[in-house]
Amino acid sequence: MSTRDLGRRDFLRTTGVAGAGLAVAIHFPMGKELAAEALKKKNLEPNAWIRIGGDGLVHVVYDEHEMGQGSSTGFLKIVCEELNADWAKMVWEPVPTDPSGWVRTISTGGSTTIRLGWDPIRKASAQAREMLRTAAADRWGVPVAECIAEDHAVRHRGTDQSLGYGDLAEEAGSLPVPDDPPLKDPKDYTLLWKSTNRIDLPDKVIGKTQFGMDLRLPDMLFAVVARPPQFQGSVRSFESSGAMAVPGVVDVREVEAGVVVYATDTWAALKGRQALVVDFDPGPNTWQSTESLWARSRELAEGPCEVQREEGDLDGAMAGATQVVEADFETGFLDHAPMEPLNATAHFRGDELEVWVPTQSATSAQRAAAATAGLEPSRVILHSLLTGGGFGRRLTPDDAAIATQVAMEKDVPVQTVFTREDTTQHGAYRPAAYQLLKAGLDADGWPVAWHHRVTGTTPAGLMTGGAAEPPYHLPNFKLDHNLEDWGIPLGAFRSVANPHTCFAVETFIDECAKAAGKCPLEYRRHLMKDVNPRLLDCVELAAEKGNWGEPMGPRQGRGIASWFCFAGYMAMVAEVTVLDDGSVQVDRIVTASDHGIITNPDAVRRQIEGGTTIALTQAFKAVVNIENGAAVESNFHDYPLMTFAEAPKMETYFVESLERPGGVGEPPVPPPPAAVANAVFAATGIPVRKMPFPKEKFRV
Amino acid sequence: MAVFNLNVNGEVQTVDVPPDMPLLWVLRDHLNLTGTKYSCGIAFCGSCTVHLDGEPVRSCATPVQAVGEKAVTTIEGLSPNGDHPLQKAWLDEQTPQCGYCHPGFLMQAAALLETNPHPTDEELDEYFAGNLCRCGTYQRIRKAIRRVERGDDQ
Repeated sequence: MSTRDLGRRDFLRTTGVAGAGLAVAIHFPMGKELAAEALKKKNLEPNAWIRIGGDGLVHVVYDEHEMGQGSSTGFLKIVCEELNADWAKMVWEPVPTDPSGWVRTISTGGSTTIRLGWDPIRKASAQAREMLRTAAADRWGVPVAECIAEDHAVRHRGTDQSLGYGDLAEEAGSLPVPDDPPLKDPKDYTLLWKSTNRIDLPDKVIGKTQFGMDLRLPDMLFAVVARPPQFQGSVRSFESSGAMAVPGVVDVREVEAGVVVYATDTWAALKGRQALVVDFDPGPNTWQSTESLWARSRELAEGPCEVQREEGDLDGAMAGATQVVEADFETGFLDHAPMEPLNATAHFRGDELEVWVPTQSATSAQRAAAATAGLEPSRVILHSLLTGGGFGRRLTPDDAAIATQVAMEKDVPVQTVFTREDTTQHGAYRPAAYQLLKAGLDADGWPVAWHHRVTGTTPAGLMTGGAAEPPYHLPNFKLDHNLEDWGIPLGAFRSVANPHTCFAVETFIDECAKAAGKCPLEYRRHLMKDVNPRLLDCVELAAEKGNWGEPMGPRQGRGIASWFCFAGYMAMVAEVTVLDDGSVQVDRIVTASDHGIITNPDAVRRQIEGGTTIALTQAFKAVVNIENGAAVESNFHDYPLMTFAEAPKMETYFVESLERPGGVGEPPVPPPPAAVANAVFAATGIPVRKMPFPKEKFRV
Repeated sequence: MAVFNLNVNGEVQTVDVPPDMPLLWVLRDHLNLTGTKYSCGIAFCGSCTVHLDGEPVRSCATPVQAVGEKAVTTIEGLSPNGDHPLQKAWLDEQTPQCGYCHPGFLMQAAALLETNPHPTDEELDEYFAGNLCRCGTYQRIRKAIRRVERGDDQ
């Protein structure tokens, strides 16, 4: 691994952008100033991530994207723990501005920051620690084995001499980097078991954090793009005189994405776009509507289907079953709806491009911007700004690509703002999915045949994830799908396909349990115990804390759901009251989860609460409809989010574990709607097979 | 275009903007106060909340010409050193996730507690009906407000 003086280069680069402000660039706990002298002395830089200077500050390049999940704190804690450093001396360095030259892909999704960073970051930290110990040993002329690294210093066991990391950094920096340093035993961890205050929060509560839309540069213009409402539409012609007459509007140009209005402030750009007259060609997909797409999905379900996974003899087992249970499920398109609407700023300088974007993938954003500008990726300086919500939306780099198209028409920086309407109507949607489940139960009621079919739009990666290996003993199994390209912009929603596959599987399992005359908890116990014991431990804990089995009132029910995805094990028990008008009041949700070693317990709890809330939006609040080949919904009045009053009471419990860290951000999203649906089923006897839940079915 | 003298966070600021420009954009684009956020632009989400003479308003739906001589307070002016009891409670409770909606929530909460220092849970539900959070930090917002009530932030 090569050493790079990245911290300094990034520092110089960001200070080179006049007026950008360093609010995001470097965070100092305790408000220390960065001594310029420290940058000049030789540092200890064993690898790309870590740099320790003469002042003892430990600079850590967090090469992931902090979007509220708190993993920047977790990441720095891993380093601090392995290095036996002082938390107050850790410095959070920004995402490198040349992802193409970085040691690994920079992309934050799939709940991977901690669990995939676990090995390389611990090793990187251990390298630094061992080099410091060796430097001290050399200085004192003693064996390394007698040198203990602790509390930001190396101490000689025999003589009690001690040298701080800062004092050793320069010498350590000239030593060879050990290839395979010993790692700290998790049993010796002190920092990682505790909850730690997040390093990104102090700026957030005073409004100082610079999100993408907050970037202000000298001479910067603001732009909005008039885009065809239809996903496959295009611009036929436009008339700009009305727009140009708006004070503050300076230009109107056509780019690949649509017609751009450039102005000296955002409001003028918005008014300019309102005054623009554009003739759009709707394109070939005007046949697409919510209803026509469901109808098409049902046609596709008739086959022939592509088999994704198959075990045993499904047809034989189904034919021999004592009873057959069948159900079909409809779950609609979702928009991620991050609170910060999409935006990006770009400055095109002919042979070089500079981009500022609140992104979840610096690597993808740089590539997309470079491709748009016809440049090599290394010619794109990519600033990853903090993002007001990702949820997977910002893995799709259309923001950087379109902002680059916009900026290429100018020679000043241009901030392209995608309004809430733009963001909602040109999403990277979680696709709608039509699912069929059919199970053959034996004489004891256990499922011996299981057929799961998914139809709708390609790609399979966004449609079937999680359905290939549900956590149950299903000896004769088939997962198949029939998907076609509808030309609708799609992307990974938080937890990808798992929210809809878990919804179908977990509610269907309860229908099977009912047909078998068994309790859903008992059913899961039997079917899960040899297949996923860690998940079953979560189920048992959730059931215990959720008072499973205790009596409830009329139209009240308890439901259980559990799922394993992104290396996280999550079980939930929901308690509901179904009101007379059919609406569902969620009284309490109890969660029990296993994430292996947890780097920041408090942050994990909040991810579970947040993930549950966003998951319930699917059940109760919002869906994207299609009409005439375009999205119908546009803002929070018709795409409503869960509100303060609707956030359920929650209790979160952990199954303590010393296993490797598992995923945190996504595992909480699949179970909640299923748990709630199962509670409604228990309360009313009516299964829920659609999201959003059809209220009219549960009316008294 | 017209000239407006606005009292913002205790200072007089002069801007020359169209009278119908929402206060939100005056703050963000002309006064470089980007703490107040744009999220929906239709007064549905509360991210743009500021105070006018201490009352919470949605700045995206408040034309600058309607501000007059009222004192405008933004998140930057809520406290001199980030030490408003709510800000401290927000940190003690580790309330924000992405953080984008929190200037709006803090401004809304600050105005509430001035007039109703001991709101019931139902009053909180009503009071924050127009403040949205996609990350799902609602439970922690509630807890942070309870901390302030209890004086935990002292």
